[in-house]
Amino acid sequence: MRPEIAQKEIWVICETNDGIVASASYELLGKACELARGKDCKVGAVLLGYQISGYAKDLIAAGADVVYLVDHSELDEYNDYVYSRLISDLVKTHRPFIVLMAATVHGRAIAPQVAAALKTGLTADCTGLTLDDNGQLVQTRPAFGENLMAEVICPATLPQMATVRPKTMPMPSMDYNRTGEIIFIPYKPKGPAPLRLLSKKKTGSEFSLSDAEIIIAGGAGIGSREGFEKLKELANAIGCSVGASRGAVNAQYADYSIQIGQTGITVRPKLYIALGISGAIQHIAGIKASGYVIAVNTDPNASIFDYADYGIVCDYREVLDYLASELLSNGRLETSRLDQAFKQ
Amino acid sequence: MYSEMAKKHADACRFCWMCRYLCPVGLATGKEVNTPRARGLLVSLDIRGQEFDESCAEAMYECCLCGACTHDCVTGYEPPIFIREARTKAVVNELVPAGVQTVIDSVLNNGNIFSRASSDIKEQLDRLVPDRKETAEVLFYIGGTALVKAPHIAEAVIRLFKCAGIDYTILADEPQSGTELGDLIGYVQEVVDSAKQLAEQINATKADKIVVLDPSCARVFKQEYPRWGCDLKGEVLTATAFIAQLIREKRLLPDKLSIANATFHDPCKLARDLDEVLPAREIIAAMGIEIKEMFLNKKMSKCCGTELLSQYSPVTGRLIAQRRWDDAVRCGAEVMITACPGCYDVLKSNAPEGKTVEDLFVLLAEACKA
Amino acid sequence: MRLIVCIKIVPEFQDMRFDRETNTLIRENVRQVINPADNTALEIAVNLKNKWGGKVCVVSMGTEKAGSVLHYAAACGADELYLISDKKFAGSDTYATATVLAAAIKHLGDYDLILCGRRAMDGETGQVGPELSVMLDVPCLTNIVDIQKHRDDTMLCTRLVEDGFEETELTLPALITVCEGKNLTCVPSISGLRRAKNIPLNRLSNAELKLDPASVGLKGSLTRVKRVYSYFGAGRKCIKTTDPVKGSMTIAQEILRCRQHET
Repeated sequence: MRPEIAQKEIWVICETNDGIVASASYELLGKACELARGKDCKVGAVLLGYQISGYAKDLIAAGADVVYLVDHSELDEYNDYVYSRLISDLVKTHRPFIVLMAATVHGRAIAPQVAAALKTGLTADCTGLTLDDNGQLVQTRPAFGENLMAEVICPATLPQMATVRPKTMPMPSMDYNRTGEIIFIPYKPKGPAPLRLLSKKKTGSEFSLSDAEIIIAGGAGIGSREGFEKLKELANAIGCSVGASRGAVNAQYADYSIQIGQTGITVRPKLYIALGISGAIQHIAGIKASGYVIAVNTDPNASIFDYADYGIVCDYREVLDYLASELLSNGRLETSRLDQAFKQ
Repeated sequence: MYSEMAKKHADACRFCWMCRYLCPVGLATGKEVNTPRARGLLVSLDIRGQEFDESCAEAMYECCLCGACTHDCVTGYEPPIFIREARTKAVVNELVPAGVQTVIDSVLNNGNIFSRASSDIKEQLDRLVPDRKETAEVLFYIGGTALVKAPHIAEAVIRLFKCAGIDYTILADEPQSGTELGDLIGYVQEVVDSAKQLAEQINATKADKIVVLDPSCARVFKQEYPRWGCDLKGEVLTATAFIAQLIREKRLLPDKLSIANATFHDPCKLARDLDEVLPAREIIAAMGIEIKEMFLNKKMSKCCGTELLSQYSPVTGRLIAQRRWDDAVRCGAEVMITACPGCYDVLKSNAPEGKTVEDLFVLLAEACKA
Repeated sequence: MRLIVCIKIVPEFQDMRFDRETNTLIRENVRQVINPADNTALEIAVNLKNKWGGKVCVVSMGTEKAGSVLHYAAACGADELYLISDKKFAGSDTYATATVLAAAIKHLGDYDLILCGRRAMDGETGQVGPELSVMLDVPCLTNIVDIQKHRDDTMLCTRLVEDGFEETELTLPALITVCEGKNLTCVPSISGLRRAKNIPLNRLSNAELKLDPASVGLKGSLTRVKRVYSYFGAGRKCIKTTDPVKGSMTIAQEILRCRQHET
């Protein structure tokens, strides 16, 4: 380790969602713990919010050696402006040598503001992190539709900062026998912030797309709004998320907020089911990191099949109808019926 | 001013000169300036700083945008791309020939290229379908050319619809599709705006199928509308493809017609851009008509001169149509069958003594006694 | 309102091909276009200008080649064009890019709102906007899909987040980053093109911005790319069936397997 880094901490800036610590933050703590292993450094977790001190034990169980808590009623609302300035101040005071954040919408907004305030480098959307013996953080990120991978370092300034894609690091096993230090940091309100959250509207599916385990997505081939509604019904009953290709959004079958691809959301579910999606390169870029990909299309030459593990050449309606009739009873998932079907 | 794409296409020429044997304008006028190669050169020079003047603008409008040149170009590049953008430049710099300007003004003011009042168009539509419905399974889009120049073709298609029991409707006052305007001023926001208006009206009919009589409009609906963000909810079908399907399904049962020495003129947009050469021939065969194929047929079809070019360059238009008739006469045809209202009108107006033009749908309506 | 739109000129993604033999990107015959999200930012800025008056000023850092593409920004409603081009700026990472943009925007004087795309199609970091906001000391809101005037000096922003939308009030001057909208390319109008003829392309270099050469370009970049390697997510070999029942059974099976894994 370089002398200026020894004894320093790796920080994970934890994110809360409706007052609950996001799973991505635990993943990062697990990763930070792994990076610190065998090195002369500790893992710090930073948690900002209101009435959040109860989470300190969970953060320690996930791998934190030190938990920095800033608990104040004015931090109840996740405010990018207030949070980024507060985090910058904390980093300036405590001087960690690595700062990690989840690459969520908020994380990707706050991290660059912190990096700019600290005049240090930041790598976006990493999928891999390693720490060499000199304390240099090697950050791996995909580039150009995930065809290329780049290894990025921040050689001259500290802290070394990265945002990390949720779901790319494994969830650590929680060890409640671990011990750690909890530091409460007082917060002095700084007057009204120039941005204020007024309201939040949650859309349709409770499952957020970028986090989803199973996604059923429809393309232009769905053919109508009604068709898309049927797809949604089935997805909701099974409890999986709904996505759409740009073709489906352009045809106004689906909302832009669920568009998957280069100009929409990047997803990495365990199972991706593409119905009536032709497989434009922009769409593929958004689903490449998926586990198992199943494509249904009437055109046997559709390019989606080049990127799928399993392909069904037929009208998506046949598949939808079959699944609805076999899997559901009274609109709810009946796994027992499926077991029966398999036995036959 | 030119897009990167247009620049690439303009500079692509390898001077093989083969396009001069395909360009209907160059073949008709015999002028070097009327070849795709020359138009490309003018645009290339413009990009390199040579002045783009009135004569350049004029050369850009002496083109049918028929796409014959794209079909046999060794570099695989497409002159219509830069010609359209050069026309945009001509409009922006106010270099448009007076005759063309008249047609542009007519489209902007009346919605058609013939300086015909939009109230006339509305009357024609009311006459064709007096008991118009607001919604139907099939929307029939006729297009300005048929409405002004050949309403009997639209009438024949409607009779065929009735004969086959199709639930159809038309728009109350067909706004222009952007097809002609896009050819006249290039694919600019004004064209996209008019396309969006039309798309809204078409979607309001809740039709599953949009059957389009004019192949030029069908091409724009199918190929340009998605690029312009104009989403047509129904499936776009050319009238030929739709009617051919009705025959296949035996919903239309034509009798044999006795027409000898006939040939079929492939409309450029239908054959080259939409790749539809078979449906029209299927319909012709169903009527028991045997055709003689002309020189330059199917995807290689030679343009008739187009209704649009004939509006602002009547002399050139006539020369081009006459050259197409030469092809027909040479193969021994007495009757030329067409599947596009524009081709029908242009070729009919320039038919040699004793030769006739027949529209495919009009013939079929007769054969079905519709 | 004085609106500043930061635009990046990027290669058209649709034109890009990947050579699977050599594992490299084929960069021939690739058009240069306005980054899609930046294009939406421009569209939003022009709409705000048309409603509330003012000027839209476009700022782009790039090579001379970007100039001809910026012309389209003017045709789509921008009033002033600035191309920031200097060899000293080459190789800038997001921090160095934000440094140059911040200097240029300060050079241009007062403003109410800065609009950036939420990310570029080629780099996809989405960092320049937020970094720029800190350098200019203005608040920043990312992932905006709609912005309306609220009160005199505040705007009402709709922000796309993972599980829905947030309505946020934003005090001006401020910076927002904008999500890609429906219209990914700018289609100029004849009137816009006529107007654009009279809008010159202003050039800014370090002669005007007077930045320390060590703070920009490759020298000023705080991150370094150590190496780049090609990567294909496990090559997929598609097993195809034309039997909808068999196919549906496989889907059901996979759904079930995922489910069991969870519990």
